[in-house]
Amino acid sequence: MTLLRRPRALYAAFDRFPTRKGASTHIARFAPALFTEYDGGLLYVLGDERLPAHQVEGDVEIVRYSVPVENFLERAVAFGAHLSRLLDEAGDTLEVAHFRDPWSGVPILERERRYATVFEVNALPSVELPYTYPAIAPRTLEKVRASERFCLDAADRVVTPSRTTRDFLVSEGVPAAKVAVVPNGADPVPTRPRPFEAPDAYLIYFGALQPWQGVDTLLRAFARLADLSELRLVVCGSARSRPARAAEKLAEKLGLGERVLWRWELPTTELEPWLANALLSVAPLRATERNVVQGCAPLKVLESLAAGVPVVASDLPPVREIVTDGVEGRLVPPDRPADLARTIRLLLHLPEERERMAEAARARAARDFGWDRSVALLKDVYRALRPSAAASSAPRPTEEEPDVRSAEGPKVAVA
Amino acid sequence: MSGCECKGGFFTLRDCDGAPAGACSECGRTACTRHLSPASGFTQCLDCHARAEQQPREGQNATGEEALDDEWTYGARHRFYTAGYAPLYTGSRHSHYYDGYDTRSFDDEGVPEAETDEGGAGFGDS
Ligand SMILES: [Zn+2]
Ligand SMILES: [Zn+2]
Ligand SMILES: [Zn+2]
Repeated sequence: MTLLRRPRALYAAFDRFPTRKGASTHIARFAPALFTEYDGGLLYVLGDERLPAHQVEGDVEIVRYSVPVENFLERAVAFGAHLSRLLDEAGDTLEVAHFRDPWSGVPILERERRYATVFEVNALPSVELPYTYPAIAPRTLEKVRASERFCLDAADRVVTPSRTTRDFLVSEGVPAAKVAVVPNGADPVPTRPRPFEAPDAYLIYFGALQPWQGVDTLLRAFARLADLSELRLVVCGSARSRPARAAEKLAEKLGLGERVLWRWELPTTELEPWLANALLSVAPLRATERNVVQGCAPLKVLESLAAGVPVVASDLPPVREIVTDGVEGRLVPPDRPADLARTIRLLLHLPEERERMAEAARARAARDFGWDRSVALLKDVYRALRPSAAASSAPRPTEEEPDVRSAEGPKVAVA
Repeated sequence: MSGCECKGGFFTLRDCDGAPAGACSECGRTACTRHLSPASGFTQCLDCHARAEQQPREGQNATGEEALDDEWTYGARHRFYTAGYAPLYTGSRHSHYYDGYDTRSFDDEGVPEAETDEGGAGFGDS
């Protein structure tokens, strides 16, 4: 036996938590939203050799799957198998299970259950795995896809941060009424003193460096700005991973040398001063299936807006949900270093334009992307799942969710 | 030695520092009552007890293979298959939904961003 409590709510994610990545930020906001609705609950995530494998924090119990299984797929399956055992311990008190991936979703949905289920789709492994494992066998990918389809069909509700992703899921056959859009948030970033080692004028890129982020496009664009000899590019990477090292190598090849400053794994308190004092924040997302078709909700763009830093980003559907070209920044054709360089150069010559965009960015973030608003939308989803709410109103798509506050009812019976 | 040496906190982890009630027989850390595992008879800390629970059991391979067959994989494979989700027939009752052929796709290709960053999926949103 592991569990010390009888949880009414479960939040499961095949992600290490806490880390400095966007996924962690998301979990840190969403899991507490669930737990306040159900007087606590169980958080099941990945751990490592340092993070505690088991914790009780007030009414929240945290279990981290910590066995170091090297192979990604074996780790994912072992993670799910252990979740199955935890569900054996917790299953009959559970009222709702929220999960972020099929590795958690299959064990949650496979058993006889009396709890309601919410599938949070930020991204699908069947779309993203081929980028990190280009040699993945088609048959294997098809199995992953089948497990996702099973989760999408069997879950009671699906939530996603992006309208692009919602449209993608609907095009894959998920009923529109089942999908709620709960945008990512970013809280206002206060003005910060400039880091003492910061150059006078710099652009910033921050976040992870997966291939679809397009950092190579940015480096090539930056090489075209060599005549702006004072200008620097600051790359704050969330990990010095293989693609990160590839980016460093490319910068070297392009002769960027000292003009690019690399910072790795900065905590928020150190990242924010770098962000807040940048001239522009660049999000050069590539026009890949992952970004264009599946969709995404780039936290880096939201956080730049919240910090009042104008954004230069790729003109892609999920980015258009967050930034309007010419208002909070500029949208440029993806994968085109020359266009990106030209737009950056133009904005650098227009300080008043940048000032206006900075104001608009702050205003947009405050109006549309506060975490409070996202959390309220998510709580609406949970409330509508409660039995009395389910009887009175069928789930409706997205943000017009009725604010149903129901009294405690009997447990959900799931067919 | 002042207080409990186990970690607490949700987004930021720090030392618990609670009143010491014993030491973990596994890692030797001083622990308070909250951080000693009742299921271990208060001889192990929660961390060590949970890690032990996660280890594959007798007769299983490193990834808990037999357990997967019975507790999860068979059920998953069976339901996918009967409900029309299985893309392929995957063998006899005790085979995995994912088999050795599938896991081989993840054997090489170095260490992608997703892994070093997240220790796992890394399907973040950034
Ligand atoms: Zn136990
Ligand atoms: Zn211990
Ligand atoms: Zn303690």
